[in-house]
Amino acid sequence: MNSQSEILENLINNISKLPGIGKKSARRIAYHLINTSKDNALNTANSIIEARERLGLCIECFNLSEDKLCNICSDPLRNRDIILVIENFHDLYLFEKLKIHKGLYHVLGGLLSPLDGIGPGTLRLNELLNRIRMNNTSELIIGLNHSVEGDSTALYISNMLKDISIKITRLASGIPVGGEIEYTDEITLKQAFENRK
Amino acid sequence: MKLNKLILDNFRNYNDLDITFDKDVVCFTGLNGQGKTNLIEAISVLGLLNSFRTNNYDEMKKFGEEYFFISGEFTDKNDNRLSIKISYSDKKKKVTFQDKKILKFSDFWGNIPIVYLIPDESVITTGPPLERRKFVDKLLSMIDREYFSLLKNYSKIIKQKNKILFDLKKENSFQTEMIDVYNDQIVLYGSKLFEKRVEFLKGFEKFFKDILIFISDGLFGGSISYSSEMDQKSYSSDLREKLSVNKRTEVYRGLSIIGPHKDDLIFDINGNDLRKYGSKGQHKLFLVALKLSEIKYIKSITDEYPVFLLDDLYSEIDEKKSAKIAKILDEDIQTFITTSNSGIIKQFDQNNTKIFNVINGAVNLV
Repeated sequence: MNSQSEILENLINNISKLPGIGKKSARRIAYHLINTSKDNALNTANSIIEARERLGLCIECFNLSEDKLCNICSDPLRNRDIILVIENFHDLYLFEKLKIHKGLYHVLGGLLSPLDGIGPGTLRLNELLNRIRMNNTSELIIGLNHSVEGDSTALYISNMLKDISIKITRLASGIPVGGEIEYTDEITLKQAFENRK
Repeated sequence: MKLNKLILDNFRNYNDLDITFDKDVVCFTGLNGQGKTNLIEAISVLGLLNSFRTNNYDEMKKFGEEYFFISGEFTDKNDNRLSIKISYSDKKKKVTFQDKKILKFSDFWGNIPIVYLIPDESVITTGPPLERRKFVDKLLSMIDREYFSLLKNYSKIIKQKNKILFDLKKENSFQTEMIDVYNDQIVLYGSKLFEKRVEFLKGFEKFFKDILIFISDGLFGGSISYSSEMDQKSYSSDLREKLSVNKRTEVYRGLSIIGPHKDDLIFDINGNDLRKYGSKGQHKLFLVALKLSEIKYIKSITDEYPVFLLDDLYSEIDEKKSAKIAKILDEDIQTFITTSNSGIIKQFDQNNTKIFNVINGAVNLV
């Protein structure tokens, strides 16, 4: 161990804290950062600093944003009557790439799971309620996973809004495109049948 | 389903064992502690990916060794070869089925149906309701993927709700928003579980009644009924009602006490509750009949007989009854029996029987 540079060890340690990166990959990445041109490596480092210093959360929808309001919330062409609730930034990115949703978003920051210490207070549910009240939102699309946690969160949101006049819809579940009926599990097949159109 | 070949490497007290089976009745005899049960344990792990003795794969490793490996070659009723290999080292399990790695164990479940009867299972008839639910849940999970998935989700919902109730009790507060969320889901999943269990019982009980009468020589008639705090004619609405009424009690207890995870089966023998009034012999016979019915039921649903593993049962059952059991099993059902009394094997068709003697991890044809 002592034969190793402490600086290198430190770098490997920090890289291995990234999600999905083990000790071995961390070591490979560290070697790469040292072997590559100095500019390359410093660009990476600067991007991290810049992202951390200049990116914050949109005060409306909690999307990542450089300004108080994100690009979506400040876009006058977006339909402000419809809000799509999603779990995290990544889901927002996926929906935006599709360009199918013309309304706004609301990033919850997780799904209800008491076992993991995530209760209603941990998520941005009050913020959602306030937004809907303030803006007279007409439709809420729930774009959450069809898992126990996703279903619980969806139910909680529906219950929370039961005294407010708003249309609430949920993403349909069913057979994936290119999926074969033969290999679709029974529950999904049933749901696909019941939600057919 | 038939097991043709079994290979064990560092499994329990076996160094390396390679054994082939060409008969439907396979008997392992030998003194206690020689490794008879280890053999049928290995077979059960091949089909179910867990052991009836332990949830810890480390315990199955030969003492002092780094890994274990087991493999089995089966043939199904259409003579298709099925090959399963399980290896375990460094706390990692690797399962391959038909030379493809199994990533999700639940995807494999049910491919190689196994039914076992081991002495520990006497708790099914004598023990608390949990044991009878486990009996049904395990059986249905093996043959009904939707049931397995419902049960998995339902258990998760109960765990999440228990955490809420536990926290509310600790904080001495009564906020019901989160309870409502989980209660809605308990109604949804719980009623489906109930429906599936009742539907199962209807089919299962037919086999069971006939088998119990047959093996008891007409002495015992039996029945199985579903027991629940809910009104079974309107289970779903009654469940919703009871969940709502009992919110405070559940918070007070800090535990989820309403739902199909509290339901039970009532076993009746000659009109009496077996659990309260049954003799030791009646319990034993009831259990045997349950297991034999399990075999017949699986066959009726999947069109494939499971492999049957019998651990040390015959020690307490008289010859006449064991002859009847043998008669039921003589129907193309591969049966592995461990016993210290090889005389028992006389009951089976001798042309279809093979006896192995097990001595300290060595298995030899008698």
